[in-house]
Formats: sequence, C-alpha cells, structure tokens
Amino acid sequence: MTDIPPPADGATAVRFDPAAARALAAALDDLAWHLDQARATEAAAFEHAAVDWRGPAAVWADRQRPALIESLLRLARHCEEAAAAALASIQQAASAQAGLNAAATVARQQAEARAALTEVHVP
Amino acid sequence: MSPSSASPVSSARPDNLHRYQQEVTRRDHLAARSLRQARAAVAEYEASCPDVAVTPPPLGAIGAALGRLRAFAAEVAAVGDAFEVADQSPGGTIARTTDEALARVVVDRFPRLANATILAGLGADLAEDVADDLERASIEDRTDLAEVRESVPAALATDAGFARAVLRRLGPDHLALLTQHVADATSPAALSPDLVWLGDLVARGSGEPDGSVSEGTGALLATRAGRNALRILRAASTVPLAPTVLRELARALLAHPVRADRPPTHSPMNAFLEPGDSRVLQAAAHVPGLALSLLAGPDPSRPAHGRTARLVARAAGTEQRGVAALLEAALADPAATARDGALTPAGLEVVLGLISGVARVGHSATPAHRLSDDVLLAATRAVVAHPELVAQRTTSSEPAVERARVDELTSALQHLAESPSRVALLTDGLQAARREVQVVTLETGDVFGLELVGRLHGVLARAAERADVPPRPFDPLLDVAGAATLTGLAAAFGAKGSALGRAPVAALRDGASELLAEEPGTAALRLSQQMASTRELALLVVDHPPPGATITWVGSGLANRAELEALGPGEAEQAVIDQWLAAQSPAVHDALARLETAYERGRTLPE
Repeated sequence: MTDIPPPADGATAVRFDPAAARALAAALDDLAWHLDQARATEAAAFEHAAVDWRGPAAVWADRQRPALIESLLRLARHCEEAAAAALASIQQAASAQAGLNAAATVARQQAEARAALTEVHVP
Repeated sequence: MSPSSASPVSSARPDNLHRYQQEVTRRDHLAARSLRQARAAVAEYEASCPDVAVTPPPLGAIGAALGRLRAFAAEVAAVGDAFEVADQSPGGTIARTTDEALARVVVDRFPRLANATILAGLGADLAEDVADDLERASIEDRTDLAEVRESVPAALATDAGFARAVLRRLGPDHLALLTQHVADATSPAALSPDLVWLGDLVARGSGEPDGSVSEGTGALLATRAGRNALRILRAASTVPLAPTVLRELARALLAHPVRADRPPTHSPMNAFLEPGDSRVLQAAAHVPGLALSLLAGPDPSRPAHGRTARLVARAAGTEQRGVAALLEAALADPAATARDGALTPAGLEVVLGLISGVARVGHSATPAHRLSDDVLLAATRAVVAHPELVAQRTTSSEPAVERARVDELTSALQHLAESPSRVALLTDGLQAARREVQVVTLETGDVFGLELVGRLHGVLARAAERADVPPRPFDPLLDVAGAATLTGLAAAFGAKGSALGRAPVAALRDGASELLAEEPGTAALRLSQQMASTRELALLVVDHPPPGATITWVGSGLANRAELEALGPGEAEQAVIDQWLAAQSPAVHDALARLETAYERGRTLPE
C-alpha cells in the first residue's frame, strides 16, 4: 500500500486523502460488478422468457435488447477504468508530494549555503 | 376465411415474462443502490482530493441505462399480460393466440406497447381504415378529421411505415383535395390540429425506406394542386422531410413559383402557400451543399443560367425569408469559392444572378413589390466580397453591352443604397478593396485590379447620384474616403510628380469647408477623414515602397513610421504630411501618380 510522504519543511502539502481514493475505487468496482450482474441476470431471465415466445412481440423484444446489453457492458468497463484510475491517484499524489518535498529541500539548502557565504565575507 | 384464421400464431409463457421483470427489477435495485454509493464516493473524493483529479464514469448515463432496462422489463411483463388476455388456448402454461388478436388487445388495452412491430399486420389494416376514412372526408368536403386522428394509436402516429401505407392507399389526388379543404377551414395564424396531423403524416410518409421520393409524392410534385398541397402541409408541419424529398420539393417549388401556382380565385388556403415555400427553402438552406446545387447545379429541366436572377426578381413583394436563407447558404458554400479565393462557376452564377435579380426589381418598385432587407443584405455582401469580379463583369468590347451592364449594376447598387447600413457596408468594402489593390499596384506595378475597384467606385458614385434618398448617405463617405484623397495627391504630385509644395490637400480642405459651411459638423468630419486617408496612403507607401524607391526621413519633418502613424487630425498635422510627401523621391511620386491615374481611369464609365 502506497503511503503519502508528509510534507517536508517549507513544502506545500498535496491535498489528498488516500482513504477517499480507496473508497472511490471500491465503490466503482462494486458498481461495475453490479452492472455486469444486471446484464448476466437479464440474459438468463430472457433466455427463460424466450421459451415458446413466438410472434411479432418476440421479434420486437429481440430488437430492443442488443442496445441495452451493449450500454451495460460499456458502462461497466467505464467503471472499472475509473476504479483503476482512483487507485493510481494514490501513487500520483505520493509522487507529487515527493517532488514538492525535494524542491523545498533544495531551496532550503541553497538558502543555507547563501547564508553561510554571507557570514564568511562579513568583515 | 376469417382474418383470425389467416393470421399467424403468437405464443408465450406469460409467467416467464412476468418473472423476467421480477428478476431484472431485483437486480436493478441492487445496481441502483451501488450507483448511489458511487455518487457519494465521487463527491467525497472531489471534496478531499482536489489536487489529483480522477475522471469518474458517466454516472448519469448509468442511471439512464438502468432506467431503460427497467422500462423494457415492464414492457415485457405487459406483453405477458396481453397474452393472458388474448389467450385462446384451452389451458396450460403456454398462451396461444393469433398475431392479429394479440395486436387488437394491445391497441385496446395496452397502448404503450402499440408499435409497428408488435401491431404488424394490424398496422396495415389500420392504415387502410385511416386512408379510407380520409378518402371519404375528401369526397364529402369534410374538414374535421378528429375522429380519424384519434383512431390511430400513438405509436403508429409517428411510424413512417404506417404513414407510407396510409398515403399509398389514399393517393395523391385525394390527399391534395383533402389538404385544400382542411386548409380552407383554418389559417396559418391559428392552425387546426387536423392540418398539423396531416402535415406530419405526409412528412413521415413522403419518402421510401431507401430514402427515395415515393411515387405519390412524385405525382404531387408534378401538378399545381399537388405542389400547393405540399406547400400547405409544410407550412403546417415541423416534422423534417427526408433529405431527398426536401431536395426534390425545393427544386419543384423553385421551378414553379407561388405566383404561377396560386389558384386564380381567392381562397383561404392561399395564405399557406408563401409560408410553405419559405419553410421549404429555409430547410434546404440548412442542408450542406443543397442551396448552391439548387441555384446553380445541374437540373435537366432548367438551365443554371438566370435561375438565381429569376428567383430574386420573382421574390419581390413575397415572403422572402426562404429566398434570403437560400442565397446566404449558397454564397457561404465552400464550393462557391475556389482555393485561391476566386468564385467557381457556380458561385459566379449566384453572385451575378443575385445582382441581376436586384437590378430587375429596381429601386423604384412599389412597397408591395420590394425586396426584403435580408435579400438586399445578401446582395450587398456579395458585392463587397467580390468587388473586382463584379466590376469586371460590367466591361465589354461592345459599347452597347458595356453600357447595359453598367446600367444593370448601377440599378442594383441604387437599390442597395436605400439603407444607410448597406451603404456603410459598401463603402467600407470598397475602401478595403482599394487598399488591397493599391498594395498590389505598388509592389508589382500591375494596375488592373486598381482599375476595376475604381470602376466599381464609379458605378457606386453614379448610383449615389441617382439615389433619391435624403440625406444622400453616400456623399460624406464616398467623396472623402474614396476620391478626395487621391485627387488631392494627384494634384499634389501631378501626372509625373511635379508641382510639389503647393499644399493642394490644404486647398481641398478649404474648398470642402466652403462647400459644407452650411452643414455644421460635416466639414470637420470630412477634414478628419481626409487627413486619415492621406496618412493612410503615406503609410501604405512606407510599408510597400515601389521597386527602386527609397523612403526619405531625413529632412522630411518626420523621424520614422511611428511618428507618421501617430499624427492626429488637424491643419498642423496635415502640413507635416505635406512636407513629408514633398521630401520623397520622384519614384514615390510616380508610383502615387500611377495609383491615381489607374483609379481614375477605372472610374471613367461609358456614358
């Protein structure tokens, strides 16, 4: 599990809550699972409904389903991708904080070096 | 054989259809709860993690998809109900009935299921019934179609197949007759629902499934009564036509104007004809490429030449929004202009036809026979966009032809000059064109374009002289911005750039002051415009020095271009420019004289 490093002295803190990111990933994964389940349940139930179903009404029902199934599939994939992005955001936040910390450290060291030089040259 | 025994058999297990809904609904509840949790998690993330964005999935679309699934499951269950009602089998778990019996149950008891597929053969039967009712109404001169309208299930009312079936059986003659009867009993301002319904039916059923025009629609387009019926129906309906039908209808209406098709006797239905035409042409203007094709494209029945001119001339005094929209769309069509900016043959036909049409109407037309502001604005924009071409078309090696062409353009411009805003557009366009061609002349020595723009100026000035529109809005703009500056410079440098130092611009200024002393404010305006124009020409020479010429700054009174550009209006500043011009080399003076000579040569029109 990635941890977000604490902000170094003088560094800006990245506003990020890993718990919220994990909760989001879990919720989106759950939604993707439910959409897939809805699709699977519909398919099984329709197979049952289609037994002995003949005539124009059956033709009509057959024509309606592909678009419904396709949208459930597509939206479930969207959810999975967004869940993965939510998890990846923790690593992004950690990298961003590390970058800010490094920059702050360099700035602080340069300031200290300048201060030391000034002291040497003061008569 | 009874219809029932001829109809194929439908069957289903109603319990299974009901169970389908139950299972889908149970699963849908769980998904909906998960969706709510996802919404909350997204909101929490956005609130607590603003520095690292995550794109959430389209939660609204997910909600809508689940809603569609729920609705479909409910319809499947309703089909199960319909089967239970229609069941003609002796018993058991399988319901059996004929397609037609099921369709009748759907129409009577489950109208939300009444779509073309489920109704199948019954839809065709209903279409026949509706067509027969409409035919009777046309024969009996009935204008109230409420009963017929209400006999059509809602789902079939918007079904193109049903509309085609009705129209095919009704036939074009009965449709035309019925339309006239219904239109005579209503008005465009207070449309009857019957006429709207009929218009929508025809909009949906006038094309074939492959997009082509139906035989019945073709027959309507071929007769005066048929075209008028279509005009009326288009004025009443907002349902769009299939593209092919729209194209053929627009073509027929352009070839057969309302004036020719209108019945000789007065009839309330006549009030629909022009609005109908206009609605069709406006719709055609929105189809990419169609406007240009209609006005200048190939048409076996009519030559392209003169089509636009006739359309514009005939439009005077009628509802012209459709014509204006069509013209604007044709002029804006990328296919009207070649890659180098020149007009293509089709674009040329439209521009010249538009000008010719405006000229034919003439500016002295009575108010009842005028062209609308929209059409005149389209013509103005065409002139401004292609000034050299418009001017070039007034030239000819035959003096009589040339005079006629100049007269035609003069007449058109006279018409355009009735509005100050169009005058401003024309003069601004002329100025812009003059600047462009002056640069070409300075850099290349080619004076052809400048002569053409000068010619347009000459025609515009002649139109201004003839325009009987107080307070002569052309005067201050044309006299000063166009001619005075060049005339002043020509006087300053002479034909060969001599006689410098006579401060002729100042002399002009004095003359203008005297002439306009009685018009407070106008003289000052002229002087400041004149000053601006002189400075503009000087800057033009600085930016585009003629080949071999050098701009002289030392001893000219000005240090650089920025000082020249910064000069404001006023007599002192004018003197500074005079001095600067006097310091320039003979090559510069020659170039300026060439500009003036070419422009003046262009302005000289045949008498």
